[in-house]
Amino acid sequence: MSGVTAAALPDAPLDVVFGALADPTRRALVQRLVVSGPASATVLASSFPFSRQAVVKHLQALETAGLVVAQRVGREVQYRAEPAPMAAAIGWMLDSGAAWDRRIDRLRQRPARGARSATGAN
Amino acid sequence: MIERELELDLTADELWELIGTAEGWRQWLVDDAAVRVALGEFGTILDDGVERAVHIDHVEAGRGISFVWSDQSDEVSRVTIAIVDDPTRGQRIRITEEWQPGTACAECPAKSGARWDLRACLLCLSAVSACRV
Repeated sequence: MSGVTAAALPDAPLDVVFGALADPTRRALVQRLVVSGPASATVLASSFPFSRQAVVKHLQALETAGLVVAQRVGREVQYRAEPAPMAAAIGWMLDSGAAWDRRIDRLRQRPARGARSATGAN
Repeated sequence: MIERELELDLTADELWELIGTAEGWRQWLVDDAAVRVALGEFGTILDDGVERAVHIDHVEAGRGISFVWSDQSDEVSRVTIAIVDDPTRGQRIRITEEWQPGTACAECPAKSGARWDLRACLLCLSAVSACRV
């Protein structure tokens, strides 16, 4: 398990986070929000070859995963990127992956079957 | 989810000893294990200097095990270690670890009580995981 603190844990399960990011359009939307800052669905739709309705649907999936936050500003809803779920998920994967690599190294360093038989080790 | 797979020059019995016994765990999986590797058992393990509670929730003798473990934080994950017998590649061990983020524990009725009981949460998570399969 990782050194990510409980406070930094995402509200959405890991599968939901990565599921949302599996779609290239959603990744492009997150990138657009990270690079250019908060934007409404109408503004975002003008940058993509999709209808506003399609963009809203993608944004809702990202919002469910905790990757974007919707905030009403006046008469429109602004969306901003929220990197915490990605950071927590990536942190867990890096730490846990490294731990398993160490464990597997220990397994591989065990004597081979023939060597153990020859020495009588079990 | 973390996935690892490796081939080992070991007999089926030797592989199972590494996976299905606390003594085997001590040889590679953890620094120390105070748990009986049997269905439904609770215990503690020491891993890289960190103590974790563990609950064994699946045992198929000679084939594989699953358990959930957690340290003192809300971080809980589910580990499955299986022996895969592939006629073309020999016997291998397949390991998966799946993070059960904080919300998974929030589903647990034990957490709604005045005291947070880690064992109850692990038991609950095992049940939730089993229901999702």
